[in-house]
Amino acid sequence: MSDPGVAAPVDDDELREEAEGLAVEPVTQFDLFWARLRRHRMATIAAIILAFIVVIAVAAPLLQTWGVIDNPTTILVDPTGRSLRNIAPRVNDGNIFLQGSAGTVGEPASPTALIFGSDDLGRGVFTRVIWGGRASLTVGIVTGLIVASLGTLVGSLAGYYPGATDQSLMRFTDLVLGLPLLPVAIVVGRILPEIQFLPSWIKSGPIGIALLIGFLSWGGLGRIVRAEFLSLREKEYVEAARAAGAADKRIVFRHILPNAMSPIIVQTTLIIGIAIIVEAALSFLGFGVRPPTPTWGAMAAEGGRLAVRGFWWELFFAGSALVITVLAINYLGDGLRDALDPTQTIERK
Amino acid sequence: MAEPLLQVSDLRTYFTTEEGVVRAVDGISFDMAPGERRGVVGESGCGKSVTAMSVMGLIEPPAGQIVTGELLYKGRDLLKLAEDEMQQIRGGQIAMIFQDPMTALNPVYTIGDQLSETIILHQKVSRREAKEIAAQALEDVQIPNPMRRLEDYPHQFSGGMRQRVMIAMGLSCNPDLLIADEPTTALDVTTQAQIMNLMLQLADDRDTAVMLITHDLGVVAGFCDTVQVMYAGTIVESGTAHEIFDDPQHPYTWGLLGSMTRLDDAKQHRLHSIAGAPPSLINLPGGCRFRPRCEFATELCRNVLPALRVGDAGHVVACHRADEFDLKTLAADGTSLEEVAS
Amino acid sequence: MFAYVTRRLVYGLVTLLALSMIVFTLLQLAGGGPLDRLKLNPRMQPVIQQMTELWGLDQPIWRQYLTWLTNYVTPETISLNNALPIVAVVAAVGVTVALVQLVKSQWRGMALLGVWVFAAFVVLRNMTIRFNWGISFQGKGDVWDLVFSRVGATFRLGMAALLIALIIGIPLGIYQALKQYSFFDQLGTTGAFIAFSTPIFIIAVGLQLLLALYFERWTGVKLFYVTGMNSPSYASMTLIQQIGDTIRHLTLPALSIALISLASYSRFQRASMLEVMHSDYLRTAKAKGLPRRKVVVKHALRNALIPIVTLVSIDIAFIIGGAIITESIFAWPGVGRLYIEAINTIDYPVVMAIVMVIGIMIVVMNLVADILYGVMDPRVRYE
Repeated sequence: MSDPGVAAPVDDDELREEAEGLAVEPVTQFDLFWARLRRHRMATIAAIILAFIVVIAVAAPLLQTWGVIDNPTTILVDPTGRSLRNIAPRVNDGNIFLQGSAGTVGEPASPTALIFGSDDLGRGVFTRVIWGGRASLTVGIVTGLIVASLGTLVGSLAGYYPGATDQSLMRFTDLVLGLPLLPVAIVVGRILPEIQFLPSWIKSGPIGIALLIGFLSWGGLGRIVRAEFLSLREKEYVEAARAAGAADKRIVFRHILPNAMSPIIVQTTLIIGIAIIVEAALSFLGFGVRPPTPTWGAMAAEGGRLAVRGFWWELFFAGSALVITVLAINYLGDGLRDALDPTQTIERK
Repeated sequence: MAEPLLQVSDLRTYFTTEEGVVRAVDGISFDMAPGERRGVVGESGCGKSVTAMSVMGLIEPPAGQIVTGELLYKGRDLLKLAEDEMQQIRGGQIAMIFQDPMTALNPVYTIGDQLSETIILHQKVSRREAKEIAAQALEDVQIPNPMRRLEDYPHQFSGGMRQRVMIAMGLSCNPDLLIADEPTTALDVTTQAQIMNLMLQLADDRDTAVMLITHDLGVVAGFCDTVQVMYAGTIVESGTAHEIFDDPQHPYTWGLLGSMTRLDDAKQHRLHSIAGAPPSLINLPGGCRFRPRCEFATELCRNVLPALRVGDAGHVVACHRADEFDLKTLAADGTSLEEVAS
Repeated sequence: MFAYVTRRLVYGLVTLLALSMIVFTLLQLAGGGPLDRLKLNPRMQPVIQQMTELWGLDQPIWRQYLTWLTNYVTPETISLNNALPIVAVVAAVGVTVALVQLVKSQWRGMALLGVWVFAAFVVLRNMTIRFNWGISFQGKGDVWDLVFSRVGATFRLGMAALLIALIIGIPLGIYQALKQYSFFDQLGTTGAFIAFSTPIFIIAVGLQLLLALYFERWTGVKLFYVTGMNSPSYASMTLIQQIGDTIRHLTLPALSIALISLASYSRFQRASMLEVMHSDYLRTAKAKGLPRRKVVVKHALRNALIPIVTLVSIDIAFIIGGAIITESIFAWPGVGRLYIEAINTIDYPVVMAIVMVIGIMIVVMNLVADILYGVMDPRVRYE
């Protein structure tokens, strides 16, 4: 082997492996996806921030932050605690939200409640921002679920069964897509609390708004899913499965759906962000989640009025909460898109 | 031999990527004579296309760069030309056609527009004259109804016809050299044959030199005068078509030919496949690049990069052991490769 | 092409019909019904009887709907002011026939479009048409007059926002693509993300505070106005002053809407441009020896700009929604603010009228976009 002149077959194992290009160890799709996701810096940061927000929102009742300042002369304080005198406070009609069930008028505010200052009813902005987060996140997630289910259901049926089913389903989807979102949502939002036959948790609460937004915005996902199913249907492995005698249900769930998941996941994530914004807009206008439940949109409206007089903190903190949450969702969605579909080589992070 | 049309000397084109420097073309030299039909063959990623793009000056900085080399076209070094001078040569004297005819034409302009564009650019003619030249070019590539077809858009042509249009566009300004990068790979076999015959005829008529880049040895056999075999950014063997096909000297060439079926096979033998895969162009093995896959590799091969050595008059090969055995004769005897190697 | 347009028109009409039914039904669900609402308003007392008869408010819901529908779509009066509309249409038809026969250039489609747009414009300006859309339940008068007195303001706001977004957004996206991965590109991308994550009302209120109210407080200079379309003394201003006054009122509201639209145009254009830049035909163009500038302008841009048309048509819905919110914040005398007022008081005829106007505008814009797309992209034309 050390004589260069003699013909020596390659028996060096290392060389052989190098030549054969052997893979090191099997990796699952999930591992690949996870690695790609983690490499996306912004998405990782976004995910952490989002997790933080969710934890705080869920744990709100446990956070022991509540309270209202019930002293007319010191009712409006800024984040440094300085109270602004000579403010004519809004008339307190007794309908003040505190924390759902505990805390009452007259109970002194806990130390944390006022770190963001108070509004002109003496309510701690920090407390309301946290509780507002519950409303916004609820709307976001429930809307996401509705859009994902409806969109996938309709889209998959339309994409898998061509002909009459496809045509009629798509006509219906186009109809829903053709409805202008905000104008219709405003109408529904306005009348929702007045509809007699609805249970109260729908009439005035985040779930109701979520249903409203969800049923108006599933069309986009429906179209996307249909397109995916249409193309995946023609794949060879589906043909093979059919030839092997697999039933439709099996083919759909086992072969097509897993491959269609990535656009569904990405689109749903983005819809959650949009839903939060739409809910905030509705609340801003007064047609969303009704007071006294705090919601970032309504806080922005009140805060805006206060800010005109120089009292900027309610608007600032409620607005920041909105922007940061939706920004995190959008970055996460972007990261998911890159991680799930690595063939998009044009964008690089 | 007459004054060579193109002289490439020690061309090196590297690409800088996140993972490292890709040495796509790493020191190749060859000549082309006027009217010569030269085939450039090799696996994907061996540097064939990059060679062509380097000659055309279409390597995009900052990622890609021609690091060293000399590209003498009719005596002028293309690498030293200013961009506007190079633009005159591109399309006018050296033309290039690409692999996928479906996407190579701009969908929003008519064929006539795109043909005329080239013609007006390189020949000082009016729009109307350019249109007539364009129609003539379409007729040359055997597209019926040329005047009417000029008004059509690319999507109204089939794949084979689009490739004809590409050829027409390439030849419309009577270049001296036509570079064809896998012109028939995207087409079906029958169309393939038609296109190659067409190119043969046109090149013959006009004495155009053709550099045909392909991985399909069958196409090369029917068309080319000379062949160069590339591997991992270098030329491993080069010679006339006869020499390469009848008397392959390099183990890689041997492997390529052995993996083809041939109608004139004397005996039945198994198709030979070359084990392994081409090396990464970032981390190239020391010494001969083919060594990890070569049955004949020795210590010398591991350490020293073989240079192109002249064999029989013009037939050059880059292998340390080329002189040791005559692969063709051994094969004809029925000696298997394993027997030869031991 | 013709069949395609007709089909889309039909779909649009069906959507509008559905929209009207949905909103009409929803309004009925609000505690009480139109009749009860009407009775609540003391000002309307004298006319209740009259309106009930006119609108069939004591009829079952489906009857009410049909009454409303018939009134909504049938013009009360329609007439031509002069002969111009007829001249315009005849001329347009003549030009169309001539162009189709004689001219083969690819610009023919664009020219035809321009001719017909001009003709439509002439027709609309020289005819009188009026619909009976009812009387506002809140005593604001005839709905048709009400809506049309406000439409101009909203149109001004919407157009301004659209233009700002297009003029800034598209070059931004193109430049980002040409200088991909540069600091500018990354800055632009981050900015776009922030824009997409900020609700319009935050931008609007923020602009109001920072560029007007607080700005004035800090510098003493009143740069922009935050309410209304023009100052009270507008009529007595010189032309220059009038232009300045208009701009100072229009900027902040238009900017509030435009910033988000701008971000989406730039993202879209960037992606489109990048795709085109990596295309094969661009490589072919370079291989032909075309100078780089020509390659970019003639080949790349022409392709990259095609999808804009679709984007704008989708954006119209966003601009309308944005106008609704922005008009409320800036007290802009437009249809959006009227809508909010009408919704708050559930002023049936006004709400229905405006919802339908919005729907019609969206359908028309989508149709225009489809036609434009066909003009610009020859691949679509031959379907």
